[in-house]
Amino acid sequence: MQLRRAWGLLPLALLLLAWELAVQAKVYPSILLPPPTKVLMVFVEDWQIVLGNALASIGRVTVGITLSFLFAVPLGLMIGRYQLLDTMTDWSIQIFRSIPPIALIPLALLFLGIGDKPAIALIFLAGTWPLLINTIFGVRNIERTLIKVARAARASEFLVMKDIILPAALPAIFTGLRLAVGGGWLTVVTAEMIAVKSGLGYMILNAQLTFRSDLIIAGIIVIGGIGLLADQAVRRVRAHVCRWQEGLTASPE
Amino acid sequence: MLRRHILAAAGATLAAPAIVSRDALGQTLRKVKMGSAFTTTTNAAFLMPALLKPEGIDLELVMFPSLVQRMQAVASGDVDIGNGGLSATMQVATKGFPMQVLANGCDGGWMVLAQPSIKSFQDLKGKKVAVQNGSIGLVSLNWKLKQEGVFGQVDMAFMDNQDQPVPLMRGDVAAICCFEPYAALAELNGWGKRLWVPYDSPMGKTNLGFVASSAFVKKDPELTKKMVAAHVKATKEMASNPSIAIETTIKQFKMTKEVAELSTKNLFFSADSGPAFTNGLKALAKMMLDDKMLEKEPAWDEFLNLGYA
Amino acid sequence: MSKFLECIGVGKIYPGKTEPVEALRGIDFSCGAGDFVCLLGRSGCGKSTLLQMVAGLERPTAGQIVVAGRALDGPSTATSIVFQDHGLFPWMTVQKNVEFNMKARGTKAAERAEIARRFLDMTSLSGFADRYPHELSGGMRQRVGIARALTTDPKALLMDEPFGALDAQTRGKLQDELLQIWAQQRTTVLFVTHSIDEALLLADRILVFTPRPGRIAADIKVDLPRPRAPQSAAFSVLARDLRGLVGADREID
Repeated sequence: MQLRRAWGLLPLALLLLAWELAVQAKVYPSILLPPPTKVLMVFVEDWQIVLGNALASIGRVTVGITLSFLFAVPLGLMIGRYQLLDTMTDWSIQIFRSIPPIALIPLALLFLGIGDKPAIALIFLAGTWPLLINTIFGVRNIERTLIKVARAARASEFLVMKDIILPAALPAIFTGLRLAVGGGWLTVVTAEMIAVKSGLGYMILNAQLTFRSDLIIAGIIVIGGIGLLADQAVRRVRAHVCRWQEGLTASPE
Repeated sequence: MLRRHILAAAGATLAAPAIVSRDALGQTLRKVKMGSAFTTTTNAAFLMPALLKPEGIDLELVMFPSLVQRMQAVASGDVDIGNGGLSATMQVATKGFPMQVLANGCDGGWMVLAQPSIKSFQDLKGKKVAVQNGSIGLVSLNWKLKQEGVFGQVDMAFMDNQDQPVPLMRGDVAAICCFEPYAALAELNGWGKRLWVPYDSPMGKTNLGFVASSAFVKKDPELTKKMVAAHVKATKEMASNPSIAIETTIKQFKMTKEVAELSTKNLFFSADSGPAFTNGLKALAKMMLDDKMLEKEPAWDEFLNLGYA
Repeated sequence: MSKFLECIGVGKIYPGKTEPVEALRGIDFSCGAGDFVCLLGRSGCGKSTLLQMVAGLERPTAGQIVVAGRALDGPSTATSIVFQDHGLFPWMTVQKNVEFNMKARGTKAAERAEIARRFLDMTSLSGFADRYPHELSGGMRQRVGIARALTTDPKALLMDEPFGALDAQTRGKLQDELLQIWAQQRTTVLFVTHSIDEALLLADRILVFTPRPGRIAADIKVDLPRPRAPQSAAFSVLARDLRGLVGADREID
């Protein structure tokens, strides 16, 4: 990690400082805003609880986003390629992507019951839209000449999809994946409201009910931290898979 | 009498948090905010603005989606006085934010329903029960499960009250411990039968109280007195005339008349803050300690300030 | 002269944004196998459109195009096309790019690799087989495009202003290389250009196009000896004649 990157910690350090000052000045009741040290103790004493819940949430998000990927990318490739499909699906996509997952909890309960299934379903939905839309975008933006080359060479539809459409759309697909992972992770707290017994969202909701603000903040910190790591991971994979992309190496990886 | 006319008018102006405009008597009104939550047990709150107007108070009701959020608001310094779930009030009080219980609010308001195939608590072994996490319903349920010797063999599914009927209908849960009017809804639709009327535990029907932060009471005992008086009157009115509660349930929760009527039968509006109430409250604290929902008992001398009622 | 390629009454009308646009009208010409024919004219006179139709990428709205005795109904195996913006697939190495047209034909991998290597040698690209297009200069990318076009042993090589985006020096080199390849392979070449000097340098025959609607205004046989000598008097005379035919615009040379 370059030294320059360490500057990214500066806003966080300032936030930490402001937090400590607010606690010292007793600006907020300690029941709602515990001192940083109390939150730190959560990581020391209760780290197993935090870790267990983190793994549970990561598991759900992984399953949900994997399902998103398997559904949205092939569908997106086809919608991008065939104009008729695009005309048929455009309105539906625009309507459904605007619905916030929390509004879908009653329906999820009705169709899928309680526990992991509806939770993963909500995460799946949160991840599907960015992946779908970005994949379509990636296909649409393929240089026209490349398609002409394929047509002139009388390439089969299968070869065009496999060797041209898919690789050309990969950078956009990865952008979609970053957004999907972010969105899915964001949804995990909402998703874990439906009668699950583990996960960071569950931990935070539970902590709210028992007024354990130190756990709430610890949970928030872990959620933010994992979100950052996940994003970095996707970026690295993209940089490797799309290393052929001109100009990609110009941006920090 | 003037007051009776006002009360009659109040019945017609229900279902809106009443921000009462300057009255024709020409007094300057003092603005006060009162907190409450969107549940059936807090119906009496809607009557209070009209009761307080002649006292020179312009009461603004601030409604929260749940009693827990209501208490979080208290802790952050807003709406210091008003309705509060007694379990949440104790949690807040024992975590360094002194609260006082000024009067009883409403008793009861929840029910344990189970699928028709469930005949007793023994049948719940290995099955799931839906209940709202951190609620009084959970405390009573835990007690009952221990009594029946099946605690630990029954799986809790934590869900909000309004989400509970559907899983019961689908069979995802075998029973629900649910607050009104959703319990009545489930019962009337035939999705569940009454398995346990949950009021024979030591805490009885203890549910809602009229509470305030200690700071608020100390700062303005006169105002506190007026508010409690209005609360008691409103509660008595509710108790003697269920039609008001039924109307509110229909309007606020969009329930049918049948559901509203059945759920109101399970609500016991009472400002009676005598020994029954205090004993129930202390029993509740002990039960919460057992369940690790409370770290320590509140300082009862400070906590109970029932003189105004 | 045997008729390898024939255009019979070919015309093309586009729907256009506000009203139909007639890009080509009444194109009648034929050429024999092994001829080097230039389509010369200013921009907008339909020469590229005609080339795309010979490549089978567009259909004429009037008339017929016959290649190697068969009326065209889409891209033909007898032709290969080279585009001005090279049309290389950025995610494939040079080797894989060159192999693509063969892959589209179903040629087996080992054979593809062999043939590709041969044409990479021919276009002086041997050392660059494992590079990606973004690592190559403009001139080299065009070489790759040409190599790729040749791998399917086309009877006609169609070139759409292939050297238009290159600097004068690179262009000169590539023109020489092209002539060498042509001398060796003896394919028919249809070469679109707006440069009079380039046309005189390369072609046996120049079809001069004028716009609105695109028409063949003149069909000039170039009898100059090879290699062409741009400084010679004969060259200049022809160039002057062509300038008159092509139209008022000064050409970039």
